[in-house]
Amino acid sequence: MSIAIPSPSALNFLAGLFAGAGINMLTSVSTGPPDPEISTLKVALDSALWVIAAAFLTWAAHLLEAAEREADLYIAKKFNEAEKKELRQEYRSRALRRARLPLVLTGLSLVSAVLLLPGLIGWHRVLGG
Amino acid sequence: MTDEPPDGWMTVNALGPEPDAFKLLGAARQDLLVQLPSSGGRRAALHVLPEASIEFTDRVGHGLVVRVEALGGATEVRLSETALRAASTSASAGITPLVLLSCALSGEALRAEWRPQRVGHAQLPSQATLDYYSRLHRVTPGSSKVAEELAAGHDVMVVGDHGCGKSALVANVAEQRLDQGDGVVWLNMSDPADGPASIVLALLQQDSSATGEYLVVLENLHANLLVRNTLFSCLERLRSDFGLRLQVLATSWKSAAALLRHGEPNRALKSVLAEGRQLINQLLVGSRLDDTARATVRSLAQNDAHIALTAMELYGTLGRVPTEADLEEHYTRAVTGAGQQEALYRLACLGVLEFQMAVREAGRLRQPLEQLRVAGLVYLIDGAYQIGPRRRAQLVMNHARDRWDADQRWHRPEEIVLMHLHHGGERLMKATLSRLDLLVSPDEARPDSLYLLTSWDILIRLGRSLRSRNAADPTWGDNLGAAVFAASALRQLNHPDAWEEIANWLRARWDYADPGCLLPEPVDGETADYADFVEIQQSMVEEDTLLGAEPHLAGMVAGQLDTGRMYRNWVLGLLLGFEGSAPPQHYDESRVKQLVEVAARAREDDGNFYPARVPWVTARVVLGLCQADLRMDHPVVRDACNWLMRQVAQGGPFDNWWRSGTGSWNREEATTAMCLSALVRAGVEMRPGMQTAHAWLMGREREWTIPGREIDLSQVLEANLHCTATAAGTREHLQTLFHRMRTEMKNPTLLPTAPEERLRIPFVAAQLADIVWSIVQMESLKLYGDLFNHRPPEPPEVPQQRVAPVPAESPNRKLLTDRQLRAWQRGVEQIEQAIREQIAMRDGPVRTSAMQEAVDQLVNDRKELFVLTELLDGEFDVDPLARIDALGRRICEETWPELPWPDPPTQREPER
Repeated sequence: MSIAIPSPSALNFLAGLFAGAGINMLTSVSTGPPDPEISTLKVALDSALWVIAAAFLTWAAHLLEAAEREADLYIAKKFNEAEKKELRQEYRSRALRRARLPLVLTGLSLVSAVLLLPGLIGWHRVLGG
Repeated sequence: MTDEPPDGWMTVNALGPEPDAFKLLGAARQDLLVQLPSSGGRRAALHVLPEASIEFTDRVGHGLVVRVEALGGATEVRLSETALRAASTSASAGITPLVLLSCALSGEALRAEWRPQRVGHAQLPSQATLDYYSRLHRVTPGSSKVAEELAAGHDVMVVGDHGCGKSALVANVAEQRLDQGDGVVWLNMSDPADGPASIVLALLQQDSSATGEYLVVLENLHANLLVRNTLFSCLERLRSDFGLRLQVLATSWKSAAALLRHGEPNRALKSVLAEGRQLINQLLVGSRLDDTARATVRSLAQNDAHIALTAMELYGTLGRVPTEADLEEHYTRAVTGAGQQEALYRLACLGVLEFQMAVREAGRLRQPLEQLRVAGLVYLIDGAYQIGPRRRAQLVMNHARDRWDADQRWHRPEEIVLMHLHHGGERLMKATLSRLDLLVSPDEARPDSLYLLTSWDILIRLGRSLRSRNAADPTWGDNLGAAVFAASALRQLNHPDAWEEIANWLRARWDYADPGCLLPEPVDGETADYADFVEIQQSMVEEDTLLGAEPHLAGMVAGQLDTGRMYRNWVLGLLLGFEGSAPPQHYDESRVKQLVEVAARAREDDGNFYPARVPWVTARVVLGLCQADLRMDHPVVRDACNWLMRQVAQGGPFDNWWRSGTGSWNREEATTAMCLSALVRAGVEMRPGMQTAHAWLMGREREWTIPGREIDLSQVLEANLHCTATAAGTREHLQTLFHRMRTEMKNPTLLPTAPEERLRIPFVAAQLADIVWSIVQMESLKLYGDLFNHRPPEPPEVPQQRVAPVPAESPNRKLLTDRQLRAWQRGVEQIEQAIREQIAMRDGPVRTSAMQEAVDQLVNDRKELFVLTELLDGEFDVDPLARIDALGRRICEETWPELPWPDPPTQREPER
């Protein structure tokens, strides 16, 4: 069974979205009207988590991209299509193994960032504050 | 040997011999300042301040302290007194004061043991070459990517096959940078003298750039992988110490690129793939060729953009797409006289392996090369003559071999390349060996090093040790064997003077000039190693005693042995090898001829050399004949080889392997190795019997690796190399052998009780030199593909069928002429080479199931080819030919030539 491995460009695109979300959040707080309901520190932390998630995802995309480049350099003209396909798949699988850490870290950052979104969960109520 | 003083040291040289330190340093300062290009308000990229100070210190010795600065920083370097003395007295290295300063700035330690070595100059290609590159250059995805990466501030490495237009791409960038006012340093790494000091020298000489930016072009980085670390360290230092804004643009093979990227972390080179196919497409887009002509150009060019450009240019004059023959004619046009032909052929042979011929090495070929340069057939770049792209070199080489009989007149291409390496000095040899060590092919890096470079270093030391021993006693204790083996090693390690000393003694010591003599005869009594043969007889007696009533397989008992005759036969083999492989300036054809005649008289009726009980004597004579360039087509060699392969039951010595016949004096492993080497070197194909013997020999590893049995080990390694034609299984044991020899050199243990010990070191040294050279040749051929073997089909001698006949419709038995047979044999060699290459390119860190299947298929193809090769003879079925042709088309694809098909017998013998 072959695993569908995301392409580096898709990961980079997602990373761009995450970073954009984080930065957008920061700029909207800094340029928008002050809201006593929302803690600026919490927003800053949340936006930082978005950016960190983007950074981890870029790391993962870089690993996959490097693997593709490796595969390109290894593949010779005389290789047949099946060999080329398998080699690329093999390099990607290896890269995916190396990319586990950044992907897990992306997931964690992302979950934390979502949970910290202002207004999504009233943490003071949940924690009985 | 006295050395003329080099240029640039006028004031120092005016001081006379051995000036005192103060005067020397003062004069050197004056000479250095004279050379600085900063006159008239100009300022060099690396600017030397005129206030160089003299420093006297007992701790590190006296020296000249020079301060060098650039826009972003400055640093001081110290030119030691010893280095100044060495540089100012050695003309051969051509170290001027400025070159010495660049050596110091590039990080070379100018200590007492520093020896001046030539420094190559970084020079931009000539305007004519740049114009050619601009004609070739087109915007391709690769060139756009390079521009993008450079704009992003990265260092870039353009990787790609030969002729894909890497240099044209880089030249285009360099010209753009020059137009912008940037500085450009162009270093072609093909010259082994080019390195970090060359870059610094260029920066010391060229003006500071208007923009403060510099582009460092490193062309053919794969050509000298040895300097890669020092080169990049130097560039880093230039950036950090002087704040120079340097950007690197390199070209390299794909395989070398992988090595460079896996280097140090600060070497962030961005690889960009340049593809010849894309460049050719762009070239064709702008041409007026129709679709058919375009397809023909693509097929002719085989992804070489230079060939495509020439083909398009010739299209205008010929009115059609040229053929390979037209290209050959075009590249050899206006060549007149033997001198020009030889010069062009030699340059082509070197060009096939991307070597050049430095002007100072050209010697008598200088004038014809200059004429060829004027005619536009060769180029002079960076102080060296070049023929141009590799494919062009190949076409010229093939043309010369076909039309000018170049092989016979001026040596085979492999020999020319090896001679070039021999005479090119240590750095060229080391650069070549490191490339072979690290790369399997332009596409594939080697997973495990072959350690050729390490081996070469040890061999060099071994050669020096032998030379000093030889200087003390060129007769080697009146021991013929030791002297001959030492001579062989000394010749291969480039000590012809030491070889001559041995030859002077040996030629006077043994006589074979008498036209009727049956064997060589010693002058003034037997040589010392005759005593060994007396002991050998004793050992044979002991063997006979152990055998008891059973007679020896050869039917000869030790008591019947004529020791003198056996010894002289052995000497005959040694003398043949000695004279046959003499250095060119000492080669005496009449002596070789006399010895071959003696061998013809000395052989027994069934082809062996006395005694039949001891096959290694026959093997030694066969090896000697091979060194005299005789092979299986010579009756003496053929009969001796046939006898060696004859079974014991049929009166021969072969019994699945070869027994020594000399009891415990020689071991069976060594005898078998020697017989196998003799057979393979004589040109005998690996028959099943030889494969059995080889398998047996390799299974006896525990025996021949025992410490103290270095002679056996070296013989087995040589035999294995010859039998398998690959260095893969040899590497580990070669290391062991080198390690033992190194220990031996440090603590020589000469055991007087074992006469064999006297020739151990020279023998093993000669074998090692042989082995390393064989590996170099084998791996060179693998690295550069079948360039030397591939030849275009020969012109037809009779009308040929160009289409493979259908076996069912034509009579099966056909006759091949000798010419046709040779063409098919070359085709088979080409397929073998292609299979080997294709297997090697899949021998990487990753192996998938599809790759395994492809390798299995290739292995099966090789088996099939082996079977078909067995059938390849003068008269045979057409079917194997059709199968070879199909195999060739499948494996070699577009490089597979049209081979001449045999004529049906009906054309030769009309039916009555």
